[in-house]
Amino acid sequence: MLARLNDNWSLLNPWRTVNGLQKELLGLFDDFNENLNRYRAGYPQMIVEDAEKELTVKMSLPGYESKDMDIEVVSDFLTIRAERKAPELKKDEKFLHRERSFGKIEESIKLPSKVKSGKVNARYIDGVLVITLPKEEAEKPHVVKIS
Amino acid sequence: MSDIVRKENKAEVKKPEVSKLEYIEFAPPSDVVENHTGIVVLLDVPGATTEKLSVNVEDRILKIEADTDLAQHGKHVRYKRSFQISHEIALDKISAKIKDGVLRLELPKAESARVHKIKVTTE
Repeated sequence: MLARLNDNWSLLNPWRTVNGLQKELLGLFDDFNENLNRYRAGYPQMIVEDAEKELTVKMSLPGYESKDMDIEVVSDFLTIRAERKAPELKKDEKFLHRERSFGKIEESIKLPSKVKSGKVNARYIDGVLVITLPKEEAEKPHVVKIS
Repeated sequence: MSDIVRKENKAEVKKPEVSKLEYIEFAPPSDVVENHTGIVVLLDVPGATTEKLSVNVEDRILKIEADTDLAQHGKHVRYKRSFQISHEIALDKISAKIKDGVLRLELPKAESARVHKIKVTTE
């Protein structure tokens, strides 16, 4: 460290040190976020896309069966229940490593807007449950006239 | 002085705009099951399809990479994971199947590594 300082006198400029420190401190968080994004374990759980006329909710449910999924929409609340049964091992099989989770899950979210619950459509594609929820038209403001 | 630095940093934060070329990488959870004939690796890769999946072995390292159409924070979701493979595995017989977001890799053991039961007979 000292040798490096002696090699480059401009490093001894006090302002440079302060600036560098600040940059490093602020930059540290950026790097941290970057790393989090890059090395996340697992998969995205739920993605909500808010378009003009409809909402799309994508939930990762790999290896589930459509009969074991249950979707419920009440007003602007969406509830998804699903179950994935653990695979049964044969006599000569054994686990060397286990990370995947099994069992029941229930996820409830408040949607960013009210939806037409009768027109909700759900598809199960490549292990992702895709639910499209058409938005309820915005209520017109009710003008009260004063007589 | 410090204001200048802050401004610079703010600009840096804004820089990564939504790009289709950017990816968020996930290491998908896996199960590894062994039986007499080989090893089965199961990976949860929701949203991955056969077209965008690559499985290759190099220097006894099995690399799995899968792109999806899913996007999070404006970046595409990509799965990446690698495994070290022992010498018991017959590399040319590795097979991969994908169904409902679960990737199933079958790694059969080489014939020489399998357990052969030898019957002992009396003369």
